[in-house]
Amino acid sequence: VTVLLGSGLPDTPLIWCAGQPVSRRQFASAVHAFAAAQPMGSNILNLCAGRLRFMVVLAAAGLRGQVTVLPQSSSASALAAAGANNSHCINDAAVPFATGAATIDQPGLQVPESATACILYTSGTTGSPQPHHKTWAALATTAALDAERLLESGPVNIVATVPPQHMYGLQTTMLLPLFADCAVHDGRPFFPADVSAALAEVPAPRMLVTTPLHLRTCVESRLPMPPIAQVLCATAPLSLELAQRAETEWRTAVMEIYGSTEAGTIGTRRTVAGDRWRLLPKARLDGEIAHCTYHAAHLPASILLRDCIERLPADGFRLLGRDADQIKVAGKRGSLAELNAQLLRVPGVVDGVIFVPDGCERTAALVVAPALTANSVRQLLAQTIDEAFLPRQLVLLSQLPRDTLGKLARKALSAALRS
Amino acid sequence: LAQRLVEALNLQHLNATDINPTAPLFGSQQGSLGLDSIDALEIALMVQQFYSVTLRSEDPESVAALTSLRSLSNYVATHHGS
Repeated sequence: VTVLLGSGLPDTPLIWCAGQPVSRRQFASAVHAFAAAQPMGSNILNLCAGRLRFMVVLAAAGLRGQVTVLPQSSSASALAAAGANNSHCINDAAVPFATGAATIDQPGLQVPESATACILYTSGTTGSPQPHHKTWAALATTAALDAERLLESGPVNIVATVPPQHMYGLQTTMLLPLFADCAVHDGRPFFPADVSAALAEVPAPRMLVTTPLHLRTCVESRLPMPPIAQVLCATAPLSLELAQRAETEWRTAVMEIYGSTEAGTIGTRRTVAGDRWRLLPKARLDGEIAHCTYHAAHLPASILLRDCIERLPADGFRLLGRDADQIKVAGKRGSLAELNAQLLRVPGVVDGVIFVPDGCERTAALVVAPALTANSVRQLLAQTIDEAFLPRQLVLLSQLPRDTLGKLARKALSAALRS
Repeated sequence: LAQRLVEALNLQHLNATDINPTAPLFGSQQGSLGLDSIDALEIALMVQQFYSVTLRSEDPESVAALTSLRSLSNYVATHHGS
């Protein structure tokens, strides 16, 4: 078996709710009570936003050998892809929690190590997200390796702007507390002032788990922040300039994770130290540039990486950028080819192209659809592609600016968009 | 404020003067600007930087301020310098 909360003292805090600690014993008591009250059988679709309730439901499912399903988002299409119809959906309102009621002495919770703990989904541009199964043993190993690399000075109190339903948030805000003695803030602060307030609600040493977007807005807001021992960033490349600014203004260390839903963490770096990434302990890369595969003992199979990678001596590697077809918006990966295929499948669309204009982060679209309005194309498109990839600018034309070979030059696309 | 909104959110396809002050900023209904949560974060940063006005998720007044250009403008006018 694998044991959750197998180490750490029973009365130390596991979760901070509104400035109040929930101890490991209180938490485990709540898990036993919740597990006893749930129907057996089906998979659990864990939609809880609060981290305390999410963790109770995750651990209770483990205790009873039920699989936790984590949809990509709470949109209707993501829920359908995750099999919401055949699962027991649980949100915050379905999880009662009374603090102060520790009924057990030892918080350790036994879960079946080789059983599937979670199914996560990779962001599908096409509306058919791919499931990825994780066993409890694999999650425990992921946590141990992350802790070995990221928590050099021991356990921390975590505040995170990312949801627990995605791999990055699951690893950091659930697995580090369950397997590596950390504690986590219950909330998911959004605005810079929310982040500052949440950090103030947990004691030092604090770790802020976030994305480049949130880090930038927090730094640029110039709001005072309590001392932050460490910042963890992932989901999109972090600029050296922003990392330096955060390190200087907050007197902190900014670490970046390079990873994926399939692999979890692949490598880490301290951004200000340069572009050399370090692989996780005991992991290995094979191949070169666009054909790199990642191997780690706790993963069921090797993983083909979607970025171009240059291997460096010892455990180093360098990221050389992505395939031109791959785009990334708000931490979600998409394929332009797949987005364009979806656009052309919209009834009434005769021709069209989705692209990322120079200097923009969001997509734009040029569309030929004589019977439709721009707004109706957008609404039809919203049924099949993720909101993050929806064209910010959508221009209807009588025909696309194709050259004599029928190709669409970038220059012509930009000109058509401006006109 | 409309001009700063256009700049902060990279809405190059819009003129500040064309934004309907009562049009919804978020959502996909007819007439909405169609903004999303990333834009909400950029708006919070913009009003912090230019007007020293702070938005908080737990403050219902802050959240209501993000309904339209007019509600945002009223909120900024009320809280500016406070």
